[in-house]
Amino acid sequence: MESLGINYRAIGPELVLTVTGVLVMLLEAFSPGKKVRDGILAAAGIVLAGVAALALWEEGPVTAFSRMVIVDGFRVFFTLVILLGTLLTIFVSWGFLDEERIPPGEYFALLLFGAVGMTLLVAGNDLMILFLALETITIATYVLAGYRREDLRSTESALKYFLLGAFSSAFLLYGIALLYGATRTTNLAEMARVVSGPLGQAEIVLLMAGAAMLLIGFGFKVTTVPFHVWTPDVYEGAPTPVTAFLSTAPKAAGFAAFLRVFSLTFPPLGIESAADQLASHWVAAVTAMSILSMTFGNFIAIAQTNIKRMLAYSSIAHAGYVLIGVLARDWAAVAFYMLVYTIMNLGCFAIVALWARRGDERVLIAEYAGLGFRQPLLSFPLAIFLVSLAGFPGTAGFVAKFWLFKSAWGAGFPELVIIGVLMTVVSVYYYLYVVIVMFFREPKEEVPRVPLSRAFVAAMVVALVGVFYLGLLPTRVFAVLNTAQNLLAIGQR
Amino acid sequence: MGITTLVLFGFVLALLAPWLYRVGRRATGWILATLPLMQLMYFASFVRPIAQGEVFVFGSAWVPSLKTSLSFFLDGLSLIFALLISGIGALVVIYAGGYLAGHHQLGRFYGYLFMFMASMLGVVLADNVIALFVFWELTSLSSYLLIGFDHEREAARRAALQALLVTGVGGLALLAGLLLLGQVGGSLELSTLLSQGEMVRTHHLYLPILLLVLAGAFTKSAQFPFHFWLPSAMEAPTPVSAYLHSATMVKAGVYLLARLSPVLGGSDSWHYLVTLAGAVTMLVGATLALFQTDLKRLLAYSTVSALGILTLLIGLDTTLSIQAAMVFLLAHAFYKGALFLVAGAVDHETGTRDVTQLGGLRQVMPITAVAAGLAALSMAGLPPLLGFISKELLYEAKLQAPRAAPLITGAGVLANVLLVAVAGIVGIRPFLRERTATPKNPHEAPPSLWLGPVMLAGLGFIIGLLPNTVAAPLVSPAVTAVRAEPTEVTLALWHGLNPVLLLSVLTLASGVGVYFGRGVVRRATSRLEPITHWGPARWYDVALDGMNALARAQTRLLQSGYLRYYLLMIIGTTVGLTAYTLAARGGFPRPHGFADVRFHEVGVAALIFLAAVTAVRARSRLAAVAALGVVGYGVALVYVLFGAPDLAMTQVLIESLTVILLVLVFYHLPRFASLSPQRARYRDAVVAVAAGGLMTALVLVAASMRFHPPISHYFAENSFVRAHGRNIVNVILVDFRGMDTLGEITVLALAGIGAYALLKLRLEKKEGG
Repeated sequence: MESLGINYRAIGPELVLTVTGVLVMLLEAFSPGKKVRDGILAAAGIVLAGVAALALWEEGPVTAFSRMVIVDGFRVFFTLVILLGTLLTIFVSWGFLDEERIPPGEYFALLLFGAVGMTLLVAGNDLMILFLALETITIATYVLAGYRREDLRSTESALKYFLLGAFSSAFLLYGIALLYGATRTTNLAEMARVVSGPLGQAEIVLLMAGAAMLLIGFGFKVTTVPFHVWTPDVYEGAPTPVTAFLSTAPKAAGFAAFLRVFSLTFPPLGIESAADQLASHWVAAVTAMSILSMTFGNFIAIAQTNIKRMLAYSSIAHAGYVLIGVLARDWAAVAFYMLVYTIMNLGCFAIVALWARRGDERVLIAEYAGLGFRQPLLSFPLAIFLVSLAGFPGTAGFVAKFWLFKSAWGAGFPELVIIGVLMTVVSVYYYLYVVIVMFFREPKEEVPRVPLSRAFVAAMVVALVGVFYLGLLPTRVFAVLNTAQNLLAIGQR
Repeated sequence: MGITTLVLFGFVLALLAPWLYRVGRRATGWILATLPLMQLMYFASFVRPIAQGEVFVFGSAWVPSLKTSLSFFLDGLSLIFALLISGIGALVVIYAGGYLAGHHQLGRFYGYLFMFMASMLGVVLADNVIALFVFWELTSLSSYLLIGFDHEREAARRAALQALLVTGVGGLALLAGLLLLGQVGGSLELSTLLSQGEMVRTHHLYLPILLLVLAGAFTKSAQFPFHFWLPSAMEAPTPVSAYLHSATMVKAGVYLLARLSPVLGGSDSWHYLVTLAGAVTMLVGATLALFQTDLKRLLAYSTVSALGILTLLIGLDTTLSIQAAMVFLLAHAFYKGALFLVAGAVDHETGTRDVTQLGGLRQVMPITAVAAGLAALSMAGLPPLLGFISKELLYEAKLQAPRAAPLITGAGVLANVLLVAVAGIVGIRPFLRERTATPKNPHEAPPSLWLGPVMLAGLGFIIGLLPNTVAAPLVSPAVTAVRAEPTEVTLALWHGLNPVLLLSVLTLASGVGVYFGRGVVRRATSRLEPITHWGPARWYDVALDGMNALARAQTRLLQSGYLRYYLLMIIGTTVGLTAYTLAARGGFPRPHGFADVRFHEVGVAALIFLAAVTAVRARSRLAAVAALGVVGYGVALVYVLFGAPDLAMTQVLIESLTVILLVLVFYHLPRFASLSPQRARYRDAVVAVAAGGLMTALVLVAASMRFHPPISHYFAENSFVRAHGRNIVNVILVDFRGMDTLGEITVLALAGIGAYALLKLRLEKKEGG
């Protein structure tokens, strides 16, 4: 057994999440409808998984399960981001489960299984694990997206999501097969070693084609233009708490895999090698994807009247910013960005979900008129999250963007940074528009009072503290990430 | 108490202000004014040491890994600004309490005002350029909130957004410029950067840095062609206009230019760009001012002109010009602040700001009238007021300009002539002549409303009489800081009979002439009016509308909502991207091995091909599904032929299950109602063939490589020896691939159970319903 590298601690977080998921599902089958019990159990499972992940922090870069799974700071940090996203989603979904009469156990179990896929994706050191993990995520999220079965929009979006997702998965798998053909391995560490030397003509062709297909598969998962087409429809159609989840945790996981494969496995080495030949191509392609995502995402977001669609395009735009970090090959900057993005976006969606009420009735930006001083507990946090998304100084959004751009500038992508900054300016327009409507527009009808659940308040407190803590005093988190980055660099040598 | 605490305390007070207002009500303004007063006294305590040449740096780390620290830096230049900000701040806070008395959102107003005050202090005190940028943007943000304070009015909202966008965009350009500067200069601390001038000016990135920094400074200080936001910003309540849009925030750009002139100044590009922008702004502002009838807009355009003068002086870059700039800065802050506050008081008492409707107010508002008169005379540059001294210095600096002195002096005289007329219109005319009817019946303003103007106008008067009270302690250190060399400044009212005095007299006389002949001037130039419709404000609108239109067009094009277009897009990109990578690699390696293709293999391939075509052409769902099934079984046959019985088994089972499931589902669906039109079909065919062709090409490339011996040999050699089985297929399925088979069986069983559950549910529903 030792030779197979079986080490249960190395998949501790995944094990905890799986067991909790199965437990919650079984409980639902035998005594259904106990939301508080199932919710607390699921949250406890997530916290426990977080503890299990933190226990791996000191392990340094080691592998397990025949080098299929890796333990390093990269994985631990992204795992924590995903767990935080999932935990906040549970809080955000609290009221929604009652309104829509959704069996809570089933819903929590799906969230947990999705999280298992995401944490596994982050831990994967082998293309097969990556694929397995991606499929685990997507199957859970397909179901979540179509949760409001009687609603046509929700069903349509789930179907679109499913069909396009299946396509992209097929591309991904095909890409993996081609990469295997080119390098004779699916293990990423081994692959990095193979491509650091020269390869034959046929192998190079396969390597290129395989990487291109992989790029498409990942591009779909992290919603970059031109593989973003499903995003607005699905984000609009899916129940809002699910949209909140979709736009954060799976994206963090997707970017982690993106980094693992492209930035860490196929880095431009600067010497005559297959990796270098490939890098010149993927860097060009990802640059194009980044520019397209930033420009299209931000410009189209302006024209939106539905806040969920607006946030969908904003999500595409942010994916474009993050790609800059992928290009700069600074995973710590990307990880920090995803942490911040997860917090502020979930905060936004929490309020959108609460305000939308049953059946997503109130999702037009115009319907936020008059929220400002009549519902300050909704409007002020929403304004803060939007301002943070726009990257105003003093909020976490600024620090995250600043780090990303700074590192890209240093890595030799000044043109991307300039476009990024310009597009940030454009984005200020549509984020602030919502704030203006909330505070400065008179409502057409009486603004109803929305009761706030304890779970919602908890989510708000966590997200607000996060936005300001990371915005004003990010030093500690920076230090942690830098340590992890240095350890990883040593491990790679 | 440290400087950091003092600055940051403003933000705390900003948060507390709305609550304080609930407790303090009418007295809140007076109570809140104690903070800026304390700040004023605190900064005043630095006057002596700084005049003796000391410089203070206070630092605390903030985000060290990004080289960002919350450090502050106090020298002569920061000090003069800090004193103005806190001093005028105190007066404005008191004034606002009277001006907005009874307004239901006054508490919030104080909050915004303190946020601005703290940020503005941050701008002029920051040592770290990132911190400077952060405070810079915060002043834009608080200005946005303050301009839009009367948010019920569309015009206020529009003006607020306009100001935010213009200054915010400029701010980001500034950030880029500062970061570049930091990279070139090797530090993000201003106190260090200030000594790097030589290196920065010779660096190849100097011009980009300069342009970016100037973009930031010019947008903030409303220089032409970005000046249009400032007059629009007059939608703000008057205390805001007086404080932000005249005395402090708009001078942030001037501060920045002065601050960075030791680093960036001294080159030709700096000289020409800054001087030209300043000169044009000065003239444009003064000219446009003359056309206004609204008190505040008159003042706004004259402020634009004054900002142009300041920029021009900094651009001239001589010791004399900087000295003039610093004195003018003080003079302008005093008289323009006073005039704005007077305009607010007049508006508050009479209900109008239209100068053509105002007259004779001296009888009912004597105190305000005295303040207005003093301020207006200072603006016009009459002795013995500070305005006179500053204008003398101004002319002297312009006459001694290093280049094009006559031209610059001429432009300066022209602008000042116009400003004299404007001073008469805003500060003198409403108080003289006959009383006119106004919407409200005016009384003398309450003390909170006249305290500010009287103090400011009085300061202009007293300092005018005793100019050396500020010359050595304030102006000299400021000039020293900007010039980066010790400078002694002495000021005097009387310089003797010289060309400068002659120019002053000429200016005054012509100004009075223009004042009385303003009707003629206006009529003569009114024909130029249509041009102003195509001014920069129009371009701002066009850009904004264009952005919206572009966004909508993109949505229509890319987000149709139809799955088929999405698929087309994704497949198209895939084919394009992959084909490009392949083509970029110089074509395909030649595939080989076609020689030994056998007949039955061709037969299977033909079968698959025909079935695929049938599936596409079929007119009923069942036929299409059946044809797809044939494709699947054909693939299974291929597996069998090439020695992979385990794969073949899986393929057959999966294929059967899929066909059964599809048939079950399709049974409930209506017939094909509408088929896609011919043209769409051609398009789809092209995409499909391209995608298929690409896959084929890749398979051919892959097939050309053989790196493992075919696994079938291994099975053939070992099935009897190691697994003791004679039937190779059986051995593969249950032995070599035993685990795989188990997994496949499990999956199939699960799928079967799922299908059964679905069917059962349906049946139950039917029975139930």
